[in-house]
Amino acid sequence: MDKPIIEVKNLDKNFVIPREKRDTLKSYVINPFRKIPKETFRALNDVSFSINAGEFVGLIGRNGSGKSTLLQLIAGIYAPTSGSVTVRGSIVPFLQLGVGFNDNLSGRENVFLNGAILGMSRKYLEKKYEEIVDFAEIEDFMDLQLKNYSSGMRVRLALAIAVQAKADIYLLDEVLSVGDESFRQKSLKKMQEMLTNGATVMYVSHGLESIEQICSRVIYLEDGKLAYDGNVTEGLSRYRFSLLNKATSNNESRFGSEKKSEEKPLMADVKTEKIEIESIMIDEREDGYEVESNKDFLFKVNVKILEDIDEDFWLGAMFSSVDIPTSDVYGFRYDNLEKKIQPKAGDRYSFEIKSPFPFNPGSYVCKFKIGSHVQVKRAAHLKDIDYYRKVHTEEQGYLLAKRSFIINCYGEDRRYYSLITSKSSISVDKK
Amino acid sequence: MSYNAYDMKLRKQKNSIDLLRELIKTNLKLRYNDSLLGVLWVMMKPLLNFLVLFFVFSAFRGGVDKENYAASLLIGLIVYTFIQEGITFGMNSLLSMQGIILKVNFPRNLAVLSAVLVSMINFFINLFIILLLTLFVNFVPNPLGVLYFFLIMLVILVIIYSASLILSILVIRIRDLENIVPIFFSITLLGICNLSTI
Repeated sequence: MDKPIIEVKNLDKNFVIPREKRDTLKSYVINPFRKIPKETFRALNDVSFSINAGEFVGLIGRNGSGKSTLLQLIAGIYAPTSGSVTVRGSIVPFLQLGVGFNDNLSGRENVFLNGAILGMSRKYLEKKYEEIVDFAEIEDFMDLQLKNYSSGMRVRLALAIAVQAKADIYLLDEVLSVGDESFRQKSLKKMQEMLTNGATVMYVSHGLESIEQICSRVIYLEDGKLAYDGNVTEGLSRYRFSLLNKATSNNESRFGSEKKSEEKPLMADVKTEKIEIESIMIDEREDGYEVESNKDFLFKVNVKILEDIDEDFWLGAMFSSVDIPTSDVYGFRYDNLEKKIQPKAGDRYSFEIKSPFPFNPGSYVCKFKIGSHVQVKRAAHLKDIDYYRKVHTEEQGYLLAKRSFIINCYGEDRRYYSLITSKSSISVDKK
Repeated sequence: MSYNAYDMKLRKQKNSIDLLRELIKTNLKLRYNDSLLGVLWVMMKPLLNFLVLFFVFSAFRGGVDKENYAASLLIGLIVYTFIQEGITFGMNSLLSMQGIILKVNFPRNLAVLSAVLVSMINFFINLFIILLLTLFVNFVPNPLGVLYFFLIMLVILVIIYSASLILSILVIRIRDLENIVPIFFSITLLGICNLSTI
C-alpha cells in the first residue's frame, strides 16, 4: 500500500455559536427574521497531513486546540466545513471508553451493547465474551447492574471490550491512562500486541511521557493550526517550550498590570538569595513532571540554605491552568511559624508534601515560592484582603527563592466535583 | 477501500442489524425498568385508557348507539398508542442518544428506527393479548380483514418512521415540540373517540 491510510487536506472546521440561545418556538414566532448575532469558532484552521499505515502518531496541544475535533472529523462524526478527510481502511474510535454504557443494564448486556456500538458483530462478541470477562477480572459481577460497579470495574470492563475491536485505524483519546498501574500495564501490552499487526494509531494524551514512549511521530496543534508535524522529541520540546512561554508571558502581563494600578507590588521580587532550590521532584521525577488526575502526588523539594535565616518563613506552591494563568486553581502552603525550624547556612532541608491533584487532564503552571515574614501577622480571614495585603507589603515580606515550571496532568476527566477528600500533608527533613 | 470520512453511504455497516438489535433490546429493557409491574405496563396503559374512555363515553353521553363500541375502542386505542408512542419516542431518540452520536460514527437513522420498532413490538404484544381475549367471545376474524389490517399497519409504520425522522431533527432546534406533540396527541385522542361514537 503506497497511498497514505489517512489523508487530511486543508481541513477547516468552524462551529457557529449563537450569542443567544434560540431553541423555542416563541423566538421564531415573535420575530422569525431577526438575525441572531453569531460567533464563529474556528476549531481547525487549514490542517493538512497524511499518515501511512503502521504509524503511531501522538496528537498534542493544549486544551481547546482542536485535538478531539480532529479525531471526530477523522472518525466521520462531524462533517468538515471545508477541505477533506480521506480514509482508506476501517476505523474504531475510542473517543471515550464505554460509549453507550447503561447503568441499568447488567455487565453482560453492556458488553454486547458497547461492542455493537463499536462495530463488533454479536457472533464475534459471543466468541470473545470469555476473554473479555477474564481480561476485566470481574467474573462474579457480570450479572450485576452496571450502576453497582465501582469506577475501576467500569473502566476495566470498557477497556476489555475496546481491546477486542479489530480495525486498521484506531483513534485513542486519553484512554491508555486509566485504571490502576498493573491493569494499565496489562492493557498497554494488549494494545501493543494488537498494534504490531500493522495497525495505525492516532493517540491524544496530556501524558507526554507515554507519547514519548510509544509514538513514532507527533502532530502538534496550536489554536486549531498545525504547529508541528514530525519527530517526537522535537515536537514535544516545542510543545513544552510554548507551554512555558505562554505561562510566563501571561504571568508578566498579569503582574505588570497590577503593578501599574498599585503603588506597591504585592510581593517584592527575590531580594536575598538566602535559599537555593536544588531540586524539585514530583513523584520521584526531576523534570517532565506528570501527575494523574484525581490521584495524590508527592511534591518534594530539596533546598540548600545559603545564609542563616532568623525570621519566620513560608513555602508554597500555586497551580494554575496554562490557558487561564490568571486564576490560581489550587495550592498548598506551609508556614514555619515561631521559628519551629531555624535553618543555618549550609544546612540542607527537604520538604515533602503529599497532596491531591484535583484537576482535569491538561497542562498547569506551578509557581513554587519560599518567602519570609519579618514578623508574622496573618489576616484572620481572606475577606480581609486589604489587611492581608497591607501586612504583606508593610512587613516587607520578601521572597527567598522561587521557581516556576509546567506540570502535565493526564488520566480521566474528573467525574465528581466534590470537595477534596484527602488533605495535603507535609513533612520536613533536615539532612 | 477508500472513502470520504463523513460519507456514510460508502461505509461498510456489516453489523447494522446487530447494532439495531442491541438498541432495541436496551430500549425494551429500560423502558419499564425499576417499575413494579414492569412489562405489564405495555398493556396496562391502553387498557386503563380504555376503561376511562369507555366509562366516559358510554355513561355520560347516555349510551353509545354503535355496535361493538367496546371492541372498536380497544382496537383503536392500541393502534393509537402505537402511533403516539412511536412518534414520541422516535422524536426524542436522537436527543437521548447524543452521548453516543458524538463519540461513535454509526448510521444515525438506526437510533430513530430502534425507537419506532420498540413501539411496534409493544403494539404486537397488545394485539396478541386482544387476540387471546377474543378466544373467549367466539370471535372469528375475517381473513381478508386481517390481511387488510396488517397492510394498514405497515403503512402506519412507514408514516411513524418518516414523521420521527423529521421530528427528531426538528426537536433539536425547536424544543417546544417536546411539549406540543403530547398535547397534540391528547387532543386527537378525544376527537377520535368522540367521532367514533357516532
